[in-house]
Amino acid sequence: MADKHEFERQLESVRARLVRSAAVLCWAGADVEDVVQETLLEALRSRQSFGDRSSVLTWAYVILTRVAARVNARRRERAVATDWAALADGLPPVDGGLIADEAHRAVADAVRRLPQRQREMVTLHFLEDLTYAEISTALGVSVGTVKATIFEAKASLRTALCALQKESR
Amino acid sequence: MSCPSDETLVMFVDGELDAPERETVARHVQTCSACGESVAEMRAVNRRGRSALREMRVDVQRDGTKARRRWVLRPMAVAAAIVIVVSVAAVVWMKGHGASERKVAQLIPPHERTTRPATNPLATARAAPRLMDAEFERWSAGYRRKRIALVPMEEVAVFEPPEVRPTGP
Repeated sequence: MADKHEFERQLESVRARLVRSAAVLCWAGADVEDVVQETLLEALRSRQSFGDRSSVLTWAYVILTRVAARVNARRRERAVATDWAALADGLPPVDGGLIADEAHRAVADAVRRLPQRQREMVTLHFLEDLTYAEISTALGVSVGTVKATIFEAKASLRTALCALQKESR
Repeated sequence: MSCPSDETLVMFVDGELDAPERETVARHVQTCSACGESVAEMRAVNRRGRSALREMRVDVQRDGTKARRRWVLRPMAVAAAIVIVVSVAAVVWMKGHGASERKVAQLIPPHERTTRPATNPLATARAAPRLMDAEFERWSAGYRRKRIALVPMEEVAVFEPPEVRPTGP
């Protein structure tokens, strides 16, 4: 196992990628930085459990998904009445500052509307280019589950993209 | 061959099929327009999903995280300011206190002044009564000249004024 400083350096090197993934996983942009900080702290604290794994990123990603799910649940509990409509639709409060391009934002919103598990897998698949086998290892599920979940997610995205294309015509 | 399932086509697009199956599906897609269209749509989902998520910029200044940080830092800044003000006040007071001690020391007749350094706590303790005596002598000199009796504080509490009897004409 790498020594503490080497481990910290490796974590720091994947920080930007964790931030990008957290931006997809978190319902609110305001939580992104906190979620990444909490993830890095948790990763440092549980360094022993990293063992001899090869990829710090996928290991940190497991923690990230857990932390993001926790923070999203907390936000749902605290949601004020005006947010109920958005929450009922499964759509997180949109942060206009995240994406400048309108078409990209619509696609990203479609990803963010996906159920938690689908969103986690699609994020790893699109952002980190992980294979199904790597995703199954990272999230601790079978390859069959990954196949089925990604298939469902892509079917939803395909429908959303078709709707977007019809709207733009 | 009959048309492959949508799940197989998704895996084909994602490069998740093994070599023989990939070859078979590739040949079929070239000849089947319906499957060719599905594959094109799935590739579009991947392309647009990837570019949308990679386009996300996490600007913590715009989504309020940084503003909240400032609120976190504000109490710390106030605490630091209080510490600085108290420290400066303490230094100023100590300097002023030192000056008044020097003034008192000037009241001591030259032959009574101690030659030991004032910073020596033992010397300070020994010099203290002398300082008080000299100040008292100087203060009480005017009263003595006017023949006004000075009563020690301990006796003030039990002081009984002399009985004054009216004198007849």
